[in-house]
Amino acid sequence: MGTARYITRRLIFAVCLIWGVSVILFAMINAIGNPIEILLAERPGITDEIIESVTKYYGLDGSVTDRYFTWLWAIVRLDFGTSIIYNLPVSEMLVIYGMETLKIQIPGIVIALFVSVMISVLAATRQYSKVDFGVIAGAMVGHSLPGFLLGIILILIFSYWLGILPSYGAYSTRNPVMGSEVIDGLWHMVLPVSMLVFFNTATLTLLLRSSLVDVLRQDFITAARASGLPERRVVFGHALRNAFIPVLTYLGILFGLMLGTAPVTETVFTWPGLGALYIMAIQQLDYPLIMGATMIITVMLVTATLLTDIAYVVIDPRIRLG
Amino acid sequence: MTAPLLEVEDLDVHFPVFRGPLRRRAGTVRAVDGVSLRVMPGETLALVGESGCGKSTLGRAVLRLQEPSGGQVRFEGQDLLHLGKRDLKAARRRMRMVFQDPHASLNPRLRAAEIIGEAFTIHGCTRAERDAGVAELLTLVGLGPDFAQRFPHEFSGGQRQRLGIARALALHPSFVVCDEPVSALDVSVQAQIVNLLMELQERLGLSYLFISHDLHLVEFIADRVAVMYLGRIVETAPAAALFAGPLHPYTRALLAASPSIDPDRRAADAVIEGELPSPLNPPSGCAFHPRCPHATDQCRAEMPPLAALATGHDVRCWHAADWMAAAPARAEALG
Repeated sequence: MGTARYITRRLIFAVCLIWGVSVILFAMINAIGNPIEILLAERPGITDEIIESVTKYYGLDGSVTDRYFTWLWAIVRLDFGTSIIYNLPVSEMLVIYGMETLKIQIPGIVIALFVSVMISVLAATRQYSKVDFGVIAGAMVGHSLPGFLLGIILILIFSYWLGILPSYGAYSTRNPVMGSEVIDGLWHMVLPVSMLVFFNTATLTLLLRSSLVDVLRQDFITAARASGLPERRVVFGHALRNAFIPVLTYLGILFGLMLGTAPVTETVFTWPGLGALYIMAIQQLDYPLIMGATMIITVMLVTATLLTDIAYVVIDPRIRLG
Repeated sequence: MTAPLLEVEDLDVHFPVFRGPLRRRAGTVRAVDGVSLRVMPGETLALVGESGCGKSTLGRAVLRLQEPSGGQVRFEGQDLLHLGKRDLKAARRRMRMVFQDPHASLNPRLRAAEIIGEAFTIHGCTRAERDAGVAELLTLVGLGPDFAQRFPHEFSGGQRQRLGIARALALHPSFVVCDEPVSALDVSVQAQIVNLLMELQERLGLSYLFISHDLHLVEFIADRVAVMYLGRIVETAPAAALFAGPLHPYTRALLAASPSIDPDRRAADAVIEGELPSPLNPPSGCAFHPRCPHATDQCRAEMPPLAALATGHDVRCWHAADWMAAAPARAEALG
């Protein structure tokens, strides 16, 4: 099967998956109950006429299938409606808050990738040495630590005791650091990004180190040495390229899960991102926002998986398409 | 007499073993212990023995792919163990290796041309030299230049081993260590690869250190044979002499154990019993005595030296002279 056909098939599958999620999401939201009752609950002076007009206003008077297809057609056009609580277009909010999430998540993954490559090479080329055991132990601890705990410890040390880094938010409301908004933004990113780098590095190192140890044992590595290739190029050229394949899967998952872990990070650091927004929307039963955010998270996860599948084919010539 | 291409003197490869939670040093595995051997230009020296006897470790140590713990290796007159990085790299042009498993020894992410061409790049050849060399080598091993852009998984097992051989022959080496080069292949393909190796040896004047446990194959390809047991050489002789009159009880048992379609070839010696002893805790005296049907008190107490019994025929056995005396009768019996 050709690469083009493989990608087309994956794409069709991805679209079907997203559609399936939309059906389940719509069914679940319907099962929660009549949103109008919840919206107007415990308010004085509600008459049947008012309920009827509000129902009509939100387009909730049709049958379930009618309403589903109206909603589906709207989200295909990227129209997620208006937030009940904030009274702003949901699509606009998702973009603004999504950018804040990416601002800490992307550096959190990219920096962790570089750090874990360096640490893994250091450990794997000295298998069973003190350095190696130290790296494994450190990565295990980092991998097992509850996410919020490290965030709180970081805030305690750097904000509370040392008072050098801000403990919450993405920007200072007044007096930006060093009088520059760019530096102020970066300064606020330090703690949340550090926390993400720490966790991502721990997991990536566990994976990459064992994968590297495995590859370094193989004969083609000995063959490269036997040809006279300098050790540094043996490790970074031959070994790392092969050891990276399982890490790639995890990177795909990591990009997808970015939004799954975001609520924790963003709650600890009061970061105005998609994760915090999602939690708030659920707490306040902001239907359009919950539905919009869920669909966006779904699309991102499916896209990340799709890109991983495609990257696999590009990176590993052995993979049979089928 | 020409000078030997490779001279190994008293080579040791010892591995420390650590045990327990504090990783205390629990002992030493003497994978290769005081091995001496020579390979002459254009010659094939076969190294045989059971798995775990240290023959692969010896092959790697000779190429300094495994640092020896002691001894000397002289290759083309150079003291290999004391070469600096740059000189060692230069020496690697002349001595190469063919591996056992052609699935594991080829980088799955590189194309055939990159696998073969790497040596050219490492040793500072131009692109044109490399491309010409790759095409020439692919033809030399019977694949042809059309295969240059394929990945290893697109080759069959035999073709992959041809690729491995082409890689080993880049830049015209004089010496190749073949570590069980056909034992991972189908029997029908084994003969093709062995013939290719012999043909290449003749055309290019190569010397081989041929590691194998297949005695029939060794009889066919080797000029001389060295038999290893538990890190030591127990018998070394010209191939014809060794197969006609093996002297060490271990060699005789190995020959007896190797399946043959010729009923007359089945010697009277009992097939060896028991397991290969742990190299961490080798037996006293002659390492073979626990499994030897002829062991005496002397064998249990003292290690026999590797003694010359005939021209080029060395045996490490206290009773070798007795076997020698009995040999004519054996030879007659074999007809």
